[in-house]
Amino acid sequence: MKKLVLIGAALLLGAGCYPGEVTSIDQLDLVATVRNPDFGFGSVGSFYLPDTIVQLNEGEQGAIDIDRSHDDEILAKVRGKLLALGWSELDEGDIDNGLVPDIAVLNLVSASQNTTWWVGYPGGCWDPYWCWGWGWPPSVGVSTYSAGTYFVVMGDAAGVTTPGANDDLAGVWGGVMDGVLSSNSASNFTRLLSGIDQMFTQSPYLSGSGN
Amino acid sequence: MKTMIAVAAAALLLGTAGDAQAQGWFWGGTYSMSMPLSNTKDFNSKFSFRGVAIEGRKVMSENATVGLSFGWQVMDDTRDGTVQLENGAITGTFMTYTNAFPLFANAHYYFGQRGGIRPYVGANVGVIPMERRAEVGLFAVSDTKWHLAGAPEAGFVIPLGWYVRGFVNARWHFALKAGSAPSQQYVTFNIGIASN
Repeated sequence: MKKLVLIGAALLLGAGCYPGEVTSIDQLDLVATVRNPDFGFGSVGSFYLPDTIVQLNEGEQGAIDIDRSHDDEILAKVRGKLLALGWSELDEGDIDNGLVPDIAVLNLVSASQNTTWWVGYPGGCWDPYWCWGWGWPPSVGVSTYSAGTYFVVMGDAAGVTTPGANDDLAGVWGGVMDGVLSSNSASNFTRLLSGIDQMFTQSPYLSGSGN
Repeated sequence: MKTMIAVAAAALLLGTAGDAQAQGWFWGGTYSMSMPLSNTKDFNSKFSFRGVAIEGRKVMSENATVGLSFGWQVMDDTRDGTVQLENGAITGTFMTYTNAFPLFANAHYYFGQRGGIRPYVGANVGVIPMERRAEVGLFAVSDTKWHLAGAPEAGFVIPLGWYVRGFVNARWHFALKAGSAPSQQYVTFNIGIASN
C-alpha cells in the first residue's frame, strides 16, 4: 500500500489538468485592439478607405482560399463604423485633387490550415489524469483546422503631400479578429461582422473622447 | 523538472526507510475539494471538485504525529468579457486553470482517546509548485512558479476498523509571492482513508 501510494505521488508530479471545454466555435473567437497612446484621435476629421481587402499570406505554404463574396459587405461595415465616429470619407477623386485624409484605413486578412495532435487513453477512460490504468498504450490522433485573422489598421496620413502607393504611414490603431473557420461560410461572415463591431466598441477613444 | 524528479526520489527513499518501523506509520489518500481565495480567486473563482492528496504520518506519541503530504488540486474558470490593457483591449472567452501541487512536511496533535473519534490540529510547511494557465481564442500562456507555503489544518480521525481509519479535515493553504506570481490562497476540504 505504501509503495503504491509513493509511486502514485511520483507519477502525479509533472501532471496537469485543463478541464475546460469549448462547446461552440465562437468561444474560440478573439478580438484585440491596440492604439498609439501618443496619437490624439480628437483631431481626426477625415479618412480614406481603399475598396480592397488584401490577403496577407496568399500563395504561402499553409494558406487557404478565402470566400471573397462578402468583401463589399465587410468594407461597408467598417465604413459605417468610421462614419459613425463623425469622420468624413475622402474618395480617390478627392485624393487625386490633392486632398489628404487624416487617417488611411487598411483591411487585411489571412487564413491558413493548422495541424494539431492529441493523445487518447482506451478503456473508456475519459479523463486520463484520474484513471490509474496504464496497461494499454495510449492512442495518438492528428486533426487539422482552418483559422482566419482579419485586421483593420489605421495609419496617420498627415504630412503626406503627394499621396501614393509607396507612402509609409505610422500606425496609430489596429484591430484584429482571430478565430476558427467553420465549413459554414455564412457563420464565419456573421462572426466577423460581430468582431468588427467589437473592435470599435472596445475603442471608445476613436471618437475623440478621453484623448 | 530535475527538482521534481529529486523530490519524487526522496519520497520513495523515505518510504523505503519507513519499512523497518511500519507499525509507526500510517499511509493514506484523500479526496480534496478546493475553495479559492484572494489572488487565486481572482484568477479562478469557481469552487473545485478536482483534487487528491497522499499522506504519510509517523506516530510519535499517544497524541502526536509527524509526516509528509503531497497533493494535487485543480481550479478552473471560464469567463466571457473584455480585459483592458495599457494601450488596448482583448475580448474573448477566457479559460483559466491553476494546477497546485502542495509538498508539505507536517505535524499534528490529537485530542481525545485512542479508539474514538479524535479531533486534531496540525501545521504544514513546504512548497507549492503552481502552474497557472490562461487560454483565450487559439492562444494560451502559462507560468509555473514554486511558492514557499504553509497550511494550518483542523480535522477529525475516525476509527473504521483494525488499522484503518478515516479522516476529515480542512486545510488553509497560503503561498507566498514567487517571482512575478502573486501570493496565493485557497482552502481544501478533504475526506480520506488511511491504514498502517
